[in-house]
Amino acid sequence: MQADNSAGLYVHIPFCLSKCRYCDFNSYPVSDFREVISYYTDTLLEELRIKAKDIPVKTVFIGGGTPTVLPEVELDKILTGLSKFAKIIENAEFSVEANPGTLTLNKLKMMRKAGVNRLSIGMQSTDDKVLKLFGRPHDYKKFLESYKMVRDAGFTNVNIDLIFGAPGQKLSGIKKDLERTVNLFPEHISIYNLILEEGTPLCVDVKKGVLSPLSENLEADMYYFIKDYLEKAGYKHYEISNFAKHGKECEHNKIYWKNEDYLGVGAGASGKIGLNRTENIEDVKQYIVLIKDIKNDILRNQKISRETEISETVFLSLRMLEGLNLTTFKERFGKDFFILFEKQYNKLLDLKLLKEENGSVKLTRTGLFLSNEVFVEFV
Amino acid sequence: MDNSKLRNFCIIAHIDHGKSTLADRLLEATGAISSRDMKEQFLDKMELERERGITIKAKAVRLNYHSKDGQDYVFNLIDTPGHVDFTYEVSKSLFACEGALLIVDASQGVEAQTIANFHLAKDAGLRVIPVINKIDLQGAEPEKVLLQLEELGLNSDEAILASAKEGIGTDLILEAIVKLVPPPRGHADKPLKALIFDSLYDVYKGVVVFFRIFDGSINSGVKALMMRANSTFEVTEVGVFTPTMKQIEKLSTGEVGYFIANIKNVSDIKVGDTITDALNPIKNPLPGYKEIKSMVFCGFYPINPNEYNLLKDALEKLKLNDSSLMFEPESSRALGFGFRCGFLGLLHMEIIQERLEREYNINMIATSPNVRYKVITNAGKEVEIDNPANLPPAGEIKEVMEPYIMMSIITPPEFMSNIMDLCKSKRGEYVENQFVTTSRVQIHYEMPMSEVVFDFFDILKSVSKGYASMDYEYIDFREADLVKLDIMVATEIVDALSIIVHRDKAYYKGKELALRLKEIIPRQMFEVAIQAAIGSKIIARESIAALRKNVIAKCYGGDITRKRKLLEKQKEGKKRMKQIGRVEIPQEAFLAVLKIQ
Repeated sequence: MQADNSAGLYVHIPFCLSKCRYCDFNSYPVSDFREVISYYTDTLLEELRIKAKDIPVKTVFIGGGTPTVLPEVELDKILTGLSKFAKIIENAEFSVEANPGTLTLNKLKMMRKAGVNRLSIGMQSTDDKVLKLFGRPHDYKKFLESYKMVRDAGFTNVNIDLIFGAPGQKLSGIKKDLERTVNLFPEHISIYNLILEEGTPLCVDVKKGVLSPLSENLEADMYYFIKDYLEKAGYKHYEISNFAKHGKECEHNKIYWKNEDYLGVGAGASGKIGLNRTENIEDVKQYIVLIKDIKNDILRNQKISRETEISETVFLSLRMLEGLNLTTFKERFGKDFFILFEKQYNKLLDLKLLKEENGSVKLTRTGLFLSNEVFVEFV
Repeated sequence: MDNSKLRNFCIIAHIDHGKSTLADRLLEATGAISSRDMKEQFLDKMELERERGITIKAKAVRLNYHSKDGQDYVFNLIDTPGHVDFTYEVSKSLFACEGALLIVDASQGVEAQTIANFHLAKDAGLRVIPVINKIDLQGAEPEKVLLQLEELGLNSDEAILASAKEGIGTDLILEAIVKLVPPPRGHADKPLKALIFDSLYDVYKGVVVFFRIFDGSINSGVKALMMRANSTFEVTEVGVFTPTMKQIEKLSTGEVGYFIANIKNVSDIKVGDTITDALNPIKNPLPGYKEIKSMVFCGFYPINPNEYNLLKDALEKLKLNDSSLMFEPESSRALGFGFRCGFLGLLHMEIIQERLEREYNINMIATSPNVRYKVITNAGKEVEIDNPANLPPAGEIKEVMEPYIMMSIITPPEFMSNIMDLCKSKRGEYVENQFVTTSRVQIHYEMPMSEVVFDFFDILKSVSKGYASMDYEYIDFREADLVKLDIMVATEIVDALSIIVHRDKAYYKGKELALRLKEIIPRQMFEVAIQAAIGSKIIARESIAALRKNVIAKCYGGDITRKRKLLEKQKEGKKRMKQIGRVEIPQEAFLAVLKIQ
């Protein structure tokens, strides 16, 4: 059980400059939604007003999409609305996602003033050819401009997003990405293995044979190269795809991995309070219409069972390198992990995918890139 | 009953030529069942049978027919199984009749089972009435078929042009049955002599026995002696199917019907057995009785060991209605406890396997099918082997013998050389070719049954563009240079993957099997070696590289439900795999050998 009723808050902005070729997120080119945006932000604040009432907010994450693609006036409206409707506790981590080419000095000042203290910028690659393959609307130079702007505005906690495993990519390419990234001294680096999501243009090209995917062996080599490289550079590997300087881990995301409570507002946003999972309708226009008419019923509520909560807590916690703390587990669920999962644990121990260390169960080094083999045992 | 008004007949045909549809029309036309509540193909009982378009269990139906001659007739229509696996059952059903409608598809013409069934009918002394079916379809060539029938020695003047689907020719068929099929003969005053041609299990009544009376009569209270099984049951009910079950007082000479006698297991009833009155028995049973022998064997193993009893119960239930299904417990080092099952043929095996999975929801592994071998040991002992894993070590074997069949293939002449190549590649020994009609050749080969039971039919269809048809019968056991091919996965022999093959083919099969398994077995957390071996000699080796990636790179608040579903799906996949040693092997691996051409 959580000690208090505080929660994280996720705010979804489903607009981007353009759709990237690997992306299957709930996001749309902003040009198609110009006349809808102000209705959307109104709706979002209305939802926030209804939902956030008495819940202390310990982290805020405005994600997307690209929140910084919003016109200044809309961004301002959201930031002001947040301080008005949400009880954000003092010194709360407050992140906003941004992409190169969408930032202005004004927007950055506005965010600083509203208490945003962490920015996450999507770089994805330092190789313009890869950026083009990904369908990113910027090049590396453009990223550097944005990054400088962010630093100049005074942000001291910045994340850079990277993707590895692009078709045709070599280990040397990743090495170059890492060198350049590390030389920018970001406090946090998220680096994801490319997922070929069904139906995305990139996936279609691979299926058609236009592009050939990397071998899993090369991807695994890349993954462990990245891990070693960043650790050497002083970053702590704290989640399967996340690295941070000391004290700079993303508190908001850790709420998800600890399976703690969070609110979600905006089209397609999910939330979890106790055993209740909520999921908003994804379609932007329907979202706007529905909140006007029926208030709370834009949610698809799902009450999960205790068993589901336990299994989710296990596989989410194991994503973190600190693993699942056995004492915390017992305090939260009143049950001993080893009694519940003796068989599964022994099998995974035998396969050298899982280990016990300092009162926690965690993935082994091999287990990190094979973590689904571990997680399936717990669902 | 006046026997001169009685007609017993059956319908015989090559598969898919329209036998069941015609049966439907006859039921409709005689008012046995109204067309409104007619479920297509009434005589095909099980859903599975209907899907596969075949009839497994024969059933007899009594029909009342008012003929154009002004007289009322009683017909007994005996439905026969329509597949090569069930030849013996067909022959017994034929024996219960005086006439047969031989259905030939107007566009397909005469095929292997048309000829096989025609000969069975002639051997049983039946009056055969040819019916050319599906004449309404495009591509129908009734004139050609008429010629083919004449060349078989049938009277083409008697052939009836019909479309069972459209109801064309139904009256002509009914009249022909009256005119051409002779009434049954026999003596009502002689002691009871009747033939069992089928049985089924009814949950409320127990075993229902279908029979045909040649002499005497039967009514409830009779102590029926089954002469071959040497068992006696007191008859509690006799009756006929109309097509619903209808109890009547007595069945007499020439009639067809059922009796019930408090019999618990269909295996107590043997198709082809002779029934007589235990208190006034005849001396000699009817000729032609054969013990049903399994021809194809495989192991069934539950994936989850806890489902062993479930599988056992399911097999027992299936056996209630299928006396030709054999099974006995066996255990495999790799697969644990399961059952070795015997079938009439591969189709029979597939049907049982599907029913276990579909109707009983059992997740199981079927090992690759094999025939029964005879081994003569150096000590001079003869052993029958129905599981390759049980083949004695090479050093103890003096000789191994395998079953041979006589294969009969009917084909248009242009595919002859393809087919002969196929038969040769399957170790066939040429016997003869003959033109049965100007456009149809019948090819005979003696072949090892093991080469035929797996994919022969599929290949035959493909090399003949679907035109060739086949039929076969068992001949004898012959010595052959056979060896056991073992498969090792991660250095452990997986006994359930062992096969017996001809030495000349062992290298090829071993290599192919190892390759195939490499494709089927998913990568594990470590490198897995797959080896094929004869005795201690490794003849092929493949290796499956270790799995290195299975990861969800991104997982945040919005994804959790979706990602959980993804994991659940992976888990479902794993459930269908069997853990053997440290390696997880999917079900289809055990049938991999079937996929090798």
